Amino acid sequence: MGPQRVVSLNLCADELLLLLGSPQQIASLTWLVKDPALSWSAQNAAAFPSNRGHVEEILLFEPELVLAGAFTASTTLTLLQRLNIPVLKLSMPTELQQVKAQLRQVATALGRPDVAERVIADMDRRLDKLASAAVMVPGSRRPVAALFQPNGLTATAGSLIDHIFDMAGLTNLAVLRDLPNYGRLPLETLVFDQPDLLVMSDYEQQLPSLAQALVRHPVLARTFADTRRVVVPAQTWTCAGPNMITAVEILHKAMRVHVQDRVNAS
Amino acid sequence: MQARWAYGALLVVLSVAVVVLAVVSLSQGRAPLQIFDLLFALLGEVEGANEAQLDLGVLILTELRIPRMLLGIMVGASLGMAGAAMQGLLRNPLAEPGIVGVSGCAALGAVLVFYSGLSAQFMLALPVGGILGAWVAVLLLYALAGRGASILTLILAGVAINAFAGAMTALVLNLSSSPFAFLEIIFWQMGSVADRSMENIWLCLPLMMIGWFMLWRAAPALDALSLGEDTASSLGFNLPGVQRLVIGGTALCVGSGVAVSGVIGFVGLVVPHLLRPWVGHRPGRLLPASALGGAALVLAADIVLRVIPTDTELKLGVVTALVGAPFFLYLVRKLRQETL
Repeated sequence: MGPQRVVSLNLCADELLLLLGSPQQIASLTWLVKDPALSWSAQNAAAFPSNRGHVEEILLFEPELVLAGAFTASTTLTLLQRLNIPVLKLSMPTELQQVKAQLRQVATALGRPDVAERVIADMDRRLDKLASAAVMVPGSRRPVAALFQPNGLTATAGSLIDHIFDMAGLTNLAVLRDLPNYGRLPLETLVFDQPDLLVMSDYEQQLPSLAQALVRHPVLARTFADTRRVVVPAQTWTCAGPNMITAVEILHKAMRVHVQDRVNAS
Repeated sequence: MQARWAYGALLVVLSVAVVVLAVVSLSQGRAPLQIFDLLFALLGEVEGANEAQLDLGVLILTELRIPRMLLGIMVGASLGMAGAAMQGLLRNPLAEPGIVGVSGCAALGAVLVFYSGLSAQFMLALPVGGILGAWVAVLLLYALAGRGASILTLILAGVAINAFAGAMTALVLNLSSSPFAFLEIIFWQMGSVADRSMENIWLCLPLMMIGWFMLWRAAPALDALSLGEDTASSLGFNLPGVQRLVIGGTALCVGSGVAVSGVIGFVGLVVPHLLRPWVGHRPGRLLPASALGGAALVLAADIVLRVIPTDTELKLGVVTALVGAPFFLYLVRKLRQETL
């Protein structure tokens, strides 16, 4: 019997709660998780009441556990603490081992450690399958890939997405170029360096966004053929969890296709 | 006679500066390009060099650096000219599109059009939104601080208009469906001409040119206006007509500029001030000089931010503010001493 009436204050915590908790345990999720553009759990989340992270709303649910994110407002957390409500503050895992550790941590807090083991076993199974599909890279040069998101944001060394690139057998251009944390990839660098694969996220494509203009810049259309573009749904890696394996699978497949093309060309 | 000669020389010097800065601007960027080879390549004199590399370089030059350079010139010229015209019309040395909230309102107009999704259906909506925002701001400003109001009134009106534009922009972003809207707009509002495309240029250039033409048409009247409204009227200038030209021209060129480049402040303040003594304090002559000076200043600022070795490029509006804000303080101090 784990804690009852669990409230989550963070999109990633929502996903973990839906994945690891039993529906009877869930009192409320954030409004974000109901947006299918942000979360693949939107359907499952629809039935639960939403919150926007205000302490008053949280109290109404009389929670036995609150799941908070790394960036939940500290004033909220202090208040909850003063009211003696147990809070589990999630960290931001940046590699597979940490993701697994977090799954175990949350499942244990929910009183369902066995669920985490099942999820992790499934992740490992999918990764093993990828390992067996590995290809020989000619000249042992890994293909170089660059993530280019709205506003030119990219994934730099030490981030979860960089780790995902690595798991998929790709070299991250941002790491090659030694970009700082949360750096931007200048459009000029991207065009000049010509990475083998251009990775984009599909989030925001339907929403009006100024930042999207950069992704639609005509110079990209002229230098990167469709065959060199990979679209990874943002829901796969926005939060650390089993969905990240889907991103690894998508990228791994693109990597294999690219290497095969290179072999055929030579 | 001598004054006319000096004025001609000034225009020549400024034009040369703009051309030199434009070439330097083309040579700066993250990708190591041999800019002169590329320019020759563009002119058709390709020498057997690495063709693929050359093609890539030409692409970067034509799709990224040339639009950036052109936009810098266009926005700089617009801001310089609009600043000079507003100062002439209001006969107030602190009138400047950024300070008095015209740029802020233009940004509000662009943000409204953008986040309502209107500009996705109809591209021209973006500059039109910016222009309408700028137009409302200039009208408001003229209503609040036109006709020989004191400097204090003008600045207060500017503070109010700026605050209103800022609050409304925040409101629009609050209601936006995109959770990243705030972040995007905060960066966008700092102003930049980086990574724009020729599409942006074609979108705003025609509207801007109409604006420049209107301001230029107002030049003789602004000269007369410097002698006072009564004198200008007695010289046969139609004052409401001049007001319409300056207000409309400012709205067109600043509004369409802001819509593609964000808010770039202080250019319209610094440039006319530095150039005024060189044109014999004639507002009409100040217009073309400020257009060239503004273009040179924005190009120079855009070069500086690429030369400074920061991991993430500085924003253009930040660089102009670093230069402009101290200058503004200096002006305020100087005006205060004069009035005491």
